Amino acid sequence: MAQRVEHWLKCREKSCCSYYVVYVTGADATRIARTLSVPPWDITVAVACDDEPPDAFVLANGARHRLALARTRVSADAEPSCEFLVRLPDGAARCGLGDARPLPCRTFPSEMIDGTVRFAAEGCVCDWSGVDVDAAHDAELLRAEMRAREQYAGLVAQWNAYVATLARTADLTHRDFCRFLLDEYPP
Amino acid sequence: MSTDACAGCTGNCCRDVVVRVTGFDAWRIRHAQQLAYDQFVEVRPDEDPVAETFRIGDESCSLFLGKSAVDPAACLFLMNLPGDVRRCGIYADRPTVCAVYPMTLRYGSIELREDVRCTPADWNMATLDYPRWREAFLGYAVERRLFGRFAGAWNLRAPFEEAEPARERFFRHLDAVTEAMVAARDRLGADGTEAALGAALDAACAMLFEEDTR
Repeated sequence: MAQRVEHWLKCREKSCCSYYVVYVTGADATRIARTLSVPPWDITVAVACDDEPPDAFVLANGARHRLALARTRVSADAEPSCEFLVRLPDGAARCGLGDARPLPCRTFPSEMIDGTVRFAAEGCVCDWSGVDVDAAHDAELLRAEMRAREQYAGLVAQWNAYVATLARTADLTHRDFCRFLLDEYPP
Repeated sequence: MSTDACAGCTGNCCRDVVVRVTGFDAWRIRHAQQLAYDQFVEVRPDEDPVAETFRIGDESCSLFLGKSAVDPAACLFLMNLPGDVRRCGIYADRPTVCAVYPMTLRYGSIELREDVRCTPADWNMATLDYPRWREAFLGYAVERRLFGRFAGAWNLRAPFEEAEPARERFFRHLDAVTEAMVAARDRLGADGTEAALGAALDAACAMLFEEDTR
């Protein structure tokens, strides 16, 4: 097991699972949905966005959204955190998705800048200073994530082009977009 | 072994039930989740002793999965999702007894348990992958027998001591013995029979007890 993954798994807090809204690709959403036998519209949300990132899909009346994992609050005064975060009786947090977790979570906190892999653990309370970067392994994962995002952006463009042909879009929902994804990412 | 029958699951099999696990299960979960045993498993006196029951202090105990702090009836690994949907939070590493639920072996073939907690009609017994379920059951039986063998060695040779040091020693032995069996399985591949794993277990147990008495 890579040091980075082991360090993350051992982390009690998993503050990254509260700090970040996890934007996922269609591949992530459909894989998680199929792994859990839960439709993707029940485990993801459409987050409205003002700008036009490549993964922004159009819903009712031209409003743009991005697909993110659903979040919840374990108690009224708690910060919202990922729906799949399991809190054990002693307070330790664990990811309930295991190896089915989305690619951005699997690569966290590695990022690639100008071909160099480094840790960018903003929002994380862990000390990553003693953890080695497995550059070759993480670069491969990050490239896979980039390819998945490019493929997803292509499908989103297809969806948006299709929606542009519709005379009426007032009842277009997040669920409709998710059904399109299930169609495009077969089991 | 998720099937479409699990699509409407509300996690009844993970609530109000006592999940007795094997040493293999506990070891697998510990490593996959990077947890200490006492974070997820309880060593408790067993009201219905089985072959895998082991002595801690002056009581016969088993390993049980812990319960959720939020919902004391539920397994601690159960995820609550929207729409009354519940799913296992350690699905890939879940205890084998959970993986073979809700089936049982009857006259050598797979049958739905009589006390099934989901809707029996959800399970299409005509389209079930019988060989795969049977293989899982046979694997479960092997894990139970090997854990029973470990418990037997422990009960014979572990020195009497108070519950807390005994529990600590038990988990230390469990780790070493399971790692020896996993190493043997990896080394032997297809030749890693139950007898070969049992031999690795016996050798590890002998070494541990010898170390303890030094």
